[in-house]
Amino acid sequence: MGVAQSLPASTYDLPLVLDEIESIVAPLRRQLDDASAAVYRSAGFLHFAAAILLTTVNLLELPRTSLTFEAIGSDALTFSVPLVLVGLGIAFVWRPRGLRRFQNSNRSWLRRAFTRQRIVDSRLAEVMDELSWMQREISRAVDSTAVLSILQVVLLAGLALLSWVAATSLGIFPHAVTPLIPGAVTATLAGATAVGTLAIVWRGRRELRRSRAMLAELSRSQYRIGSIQQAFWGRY
Amino acid sequence: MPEGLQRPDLFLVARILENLDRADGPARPTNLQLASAINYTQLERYLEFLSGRGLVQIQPAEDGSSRILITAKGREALTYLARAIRDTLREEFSRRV
Repeated sequence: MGVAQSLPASTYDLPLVLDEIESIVAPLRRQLDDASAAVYRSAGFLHFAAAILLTTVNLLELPRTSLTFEAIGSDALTFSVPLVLVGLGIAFVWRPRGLRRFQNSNRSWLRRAFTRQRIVDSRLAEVMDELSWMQREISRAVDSTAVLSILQVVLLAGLALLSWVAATSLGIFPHAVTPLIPGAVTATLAGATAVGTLAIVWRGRRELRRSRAMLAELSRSQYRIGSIQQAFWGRY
Repeated sequence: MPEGLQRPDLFLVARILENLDRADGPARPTNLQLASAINYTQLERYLEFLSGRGLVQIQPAEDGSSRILITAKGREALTYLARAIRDTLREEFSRRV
């Protein structure tokens, strides 16, 4: 009986080794893919929820408004905020789709690399490159979400202050039965956005830490395979 | 070292050695090429390389072609390689993160 028969074939049979690597790398890739998409998607849905809430409050206020120039102006101003929120939400949700398209092309490129059966360590290097790229994408998703949301919190807080000043000092919203409602709602939204942003950033950072651990793991594997090569050619 | 084999593919080496080890007696280069799924030029380079290191033996055949045999050193190298790859796979790759 030859050497090959004396050892379980699954331990070093090449297609099985490739399958083994692929079966480990594929979930990692999916995990990172999902993580970056989830950050954007969460931000998008947070904006949609805020827009729906604000629109509902505005619609509840609407029957009480009169058709004066000031009332129409203030309604337009009030309804423009949810529109901006919806726009931001669409931007956040649309982005992962573009990202996915790019990643799909990347994945087929990776499959081709596997089919060509390059040496394992260079293949691992390609996989690591892809994982590093995804890591940067998650980082970018977290950063852009945080920056946009901070700007939005500032904007909403400014609008809340403006509504409050307009309602109490200038009397711009005479149609509103409860003039403090627009300011209070906007301020609440600012607070909710801040909390939501913190949650998204926290989740993104957690995914980043996990992906760094995966990369470190792969680095160790790559180093081990490099060591095998050196030891083998040193011996034979 | 033959041209183009500055950094030989360890898995290709394992595949060639494994096919020779599985073969019942000396192998025809064409059969070995098909079994190892590599092109003929590449196989020739690898065989020259492995023969230079005493891992395989190239014998002339009666029909003018050649036959390839794995040597005792080749079998030992295959065992070493198989164990190293198996250990790495078990210790590193099989760990799900």
